[in-house]
Amino acid sequence: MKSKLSLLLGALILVAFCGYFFISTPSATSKRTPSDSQNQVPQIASTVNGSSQIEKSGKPATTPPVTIPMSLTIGKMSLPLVFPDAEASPELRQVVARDLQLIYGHLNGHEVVRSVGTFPQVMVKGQAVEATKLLNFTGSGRFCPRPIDGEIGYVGTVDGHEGLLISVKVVAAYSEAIDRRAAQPAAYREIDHFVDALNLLDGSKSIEDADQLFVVDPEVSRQFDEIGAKAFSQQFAGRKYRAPSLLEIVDGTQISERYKGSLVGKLYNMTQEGMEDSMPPIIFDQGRWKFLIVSPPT
Amino acid sequence: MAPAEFAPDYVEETWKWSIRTETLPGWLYSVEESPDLVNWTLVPNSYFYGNGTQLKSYLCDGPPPPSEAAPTNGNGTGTGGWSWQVHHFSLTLRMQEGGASSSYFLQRESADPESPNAWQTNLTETLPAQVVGTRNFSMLEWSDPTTHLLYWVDVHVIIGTDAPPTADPAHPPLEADLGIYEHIKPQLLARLLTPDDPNAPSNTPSNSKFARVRRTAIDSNGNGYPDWYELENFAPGSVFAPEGSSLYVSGNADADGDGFTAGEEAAGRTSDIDPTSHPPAFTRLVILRKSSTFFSDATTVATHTDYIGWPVLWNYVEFPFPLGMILKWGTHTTNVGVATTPQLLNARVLSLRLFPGTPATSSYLRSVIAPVIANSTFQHTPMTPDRLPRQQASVENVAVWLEHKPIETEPVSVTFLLVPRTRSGETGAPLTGAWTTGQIQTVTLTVPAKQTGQAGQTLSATKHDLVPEFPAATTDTYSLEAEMSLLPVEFKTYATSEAGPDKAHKLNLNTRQSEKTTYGQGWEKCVSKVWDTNNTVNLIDYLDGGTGNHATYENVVRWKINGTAQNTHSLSLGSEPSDNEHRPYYVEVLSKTGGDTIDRLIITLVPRSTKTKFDAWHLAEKADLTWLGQLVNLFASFDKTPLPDGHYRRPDRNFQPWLYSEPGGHNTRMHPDSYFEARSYQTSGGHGHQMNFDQDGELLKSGISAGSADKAAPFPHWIDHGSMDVKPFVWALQLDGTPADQDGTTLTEPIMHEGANFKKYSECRPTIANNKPILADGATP
Repeated sequence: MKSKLSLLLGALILVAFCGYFFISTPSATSKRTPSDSQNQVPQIASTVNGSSQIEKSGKPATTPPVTIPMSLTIGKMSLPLVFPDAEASPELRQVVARDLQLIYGHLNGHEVVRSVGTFPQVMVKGQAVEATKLLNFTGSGRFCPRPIDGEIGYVGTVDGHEGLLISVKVVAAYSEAIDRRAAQPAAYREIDHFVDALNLLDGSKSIEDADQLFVVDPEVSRQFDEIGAKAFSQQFAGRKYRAPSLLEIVDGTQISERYKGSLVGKLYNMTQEGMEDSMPPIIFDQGRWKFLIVSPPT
Repeated sequence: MAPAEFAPDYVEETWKWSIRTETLPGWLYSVEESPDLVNWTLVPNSYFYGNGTQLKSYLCDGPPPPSEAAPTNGNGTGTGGWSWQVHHFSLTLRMQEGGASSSYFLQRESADPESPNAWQTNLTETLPAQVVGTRNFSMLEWSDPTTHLLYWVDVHVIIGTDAPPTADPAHPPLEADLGIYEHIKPQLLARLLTPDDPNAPSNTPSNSKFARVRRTAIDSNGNGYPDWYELENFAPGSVFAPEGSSLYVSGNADADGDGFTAGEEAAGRTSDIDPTSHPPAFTRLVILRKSSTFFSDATTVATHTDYIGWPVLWNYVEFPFPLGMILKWGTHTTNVGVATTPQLLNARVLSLRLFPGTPATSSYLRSVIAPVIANSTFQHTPMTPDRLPRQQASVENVAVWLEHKPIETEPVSVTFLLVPRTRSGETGAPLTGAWTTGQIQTVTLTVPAKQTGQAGQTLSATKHDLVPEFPAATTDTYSLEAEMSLLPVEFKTYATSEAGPDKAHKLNLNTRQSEKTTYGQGWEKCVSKVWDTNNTVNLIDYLDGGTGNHATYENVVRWKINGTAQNTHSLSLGSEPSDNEHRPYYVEVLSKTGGDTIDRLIITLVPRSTKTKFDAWHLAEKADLTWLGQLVNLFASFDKTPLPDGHYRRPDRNFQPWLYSEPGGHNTRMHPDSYFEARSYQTSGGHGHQMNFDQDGELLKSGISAGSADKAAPFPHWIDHGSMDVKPFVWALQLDGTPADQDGTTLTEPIMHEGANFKKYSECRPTIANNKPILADGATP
């Protein structure tokens, strides 16, 4: 029984792996962007990194919605999320809860810091809730998306229970991100596939065709070609990847005007010590996610 | 300590010769030594200056006259009947216009029990006003009949009064060139030491000048003694000697138990071994409220002025606008009294000067103090009987406690905070009129930019001068000394060599990345701050002189953070920034009285991991730099003219295989003035090299725009290059204060300061990695 399951699992992995990197539609070289992703046919079911089945718009999902705990669990602590009235729809709340867990879930502790500062009040059930504590989440790999930098960790009390306050600014950031997702749902669906495939990338059978895994910026195309896709891709094998936050999938102009209109994001590399963010950016190009190889910074 | 006497402690039973000048209004400039002094030895550590103090001491330690017996020991002490002579001693006095008639005289001091302190006055000579020239004193064939062989010549110069200096083209007032007291000290010391400089021309003291020195509360090394006292009484260097140094003298002890430290006694010219001798002026009135309702209005206060206990005269400097009437009005949160008593928390301190025995207090108390109290919030303050005023054994609702502080520790620094560093009467802050004891004068202060942001503004102030019975020790004019403690309102910056965090630096780049334009007018200072769980900073600490002067600054400055005004002086830093990222705070300091921003500072908050990772990286990398030897030669230049196909000619075109990839255009904030770049192919160890060129195609060999060695060649080790070469580079920039994160191939903001942390990075990732020669463009192998 066990061996059958293993075989089945192995087959599924192989399908996923091959499906992403080898069973791909032949395409012209993708050493330039933008991609044609804007012309993709929108899908009804959008995902948060391929998992959530609920859209901000509240459209019917293709599968029954999953009940997501409205809390953030870090180490042994679990804090319910306290959303501001009106601004946050139930769907958005679930997106936020899932994404914050993705961002902070690997951390293992927290510390209470001295000054709460000037965190704005959050209106909950018509009552203004003040932040009474500020928690600093600790552990290796503390990467909070820039749009909500400094916003997470404030604790207030509602109905006698402490909860993690979600500010209007955080809600607004996720609302924008959900709008981006709605514009290119296919791209968001593909992220988890891409990460799964990367996690199975075998260095000994690495990529021969650069287009399968890379979009190479013209400024470094010669250097890249001199190395070759196979040699270059070796470094991406044998790693454990973590998908980006919904807030970290943004327009390509964040990298260069050259990539305007293409979604780009950042992946994380889980190591024994924690998590690193030294990966090249990823870009959604011709229906699939790839690493964008640009000129090294220094 | 016995600072009541400021004359030097002469050796018992010795004879001393001295030349003294006394009560010379105006200015004294130089003392010209007699050629006869060649046989007199300048006593070590005898350089002093100041009012009424010894300037030099000369010991007669030369060979005895032929007719006399030799001294019994090398120190010139012993017995004998020989005589000594000084033919003449020249004293050059240069006075400025305005000096009054005075006298100066050559004196002979004796500690002989038969005639203690018998001064020979036969050489006294009256010095007319406005003297400029040399006065010669002759001491011909002076025979000393005693058996004491220790001779001294003390050159005493009593510095003139505070008559305003006037221009003397030949001898311009030194003081006017020197600015504040801190600036005077080292230069004045140097000036005084000059005549003893073995390399200086002998007997050419005409270049020497003495500056007028006022006594101030400034205590450079914080030992409790004001600087002037240390300069006058302790060994040279003690004034700057830190605690633990052999020259350090503690002034914080209270030897006679009268509640005043030695430093306070020194400043007050009283004795620290006599408990009945202490500074007589009560310089600080602490009003503590024990009831929440008692001092509710001015009337109540006015009717209870008897609780104060004695008539006092409020001696204060009054600024109607914009500095307010009260000199210092703050909240003490630390012990303001004797250390062994409970802390006085939340005591309101009125820094007004009180002088017993004058009758003009009550009305002023009613008119000034009452409104202040009425508008203030007092909290309960624990009081114990021993903390009650000496004159007020008990009180019911109001405790008045006079804090004993010597006058010199009563700088008007709070009120004058916004006026320039220089003193009134000097550059930038001219006095109109003179100070006259007992009169009320008007002062006009011109406030320059950078201190208030109100350049050129003229403030009028009324000064109520000191009462005459205050025991002036010599010729100081206390009333002006407060202005010596002026503090600037500007963010302190450090030399580039001093590494952050917590060391602010100035923008030191001017590249094609348009640093000044990007950050905006006035944003030229940055400091890195490593987040901690205390997550607050007191912004005053970033001001020059702010540390330890919180109460002072709290009264006069306000802040804007990221463009928004805030009510407190504390900046809450929130949660810790993400790894590798920063959070900027754009801080502006302004005057509470209005006006434009005075100074600006960008605080670059980084997570703890930035510092710990960078330090660990630097330590590990510096331990093994052998890999640098693998890197290939650099090329001094390349032909920046593109070929018809748009490519560039390789500088290593004659090598086979090539050493570098083809040069290409380069424009990144990480290397701000690099225009072209070429990267080497990886070495056998996977390392690489980066050559950056300027706009002329010349290799950049140093600095932040130059290329650097790569532990991991980005092709094919793109990921490792990011973690081993790029991340530490960004950490270094952030720790140097640059408020930027990595943003793809560049930075979110331009580099603001090329500092010491970047230098540490360069130690491990140098531009010139090894001893291989730098080759010319097109060189052959």
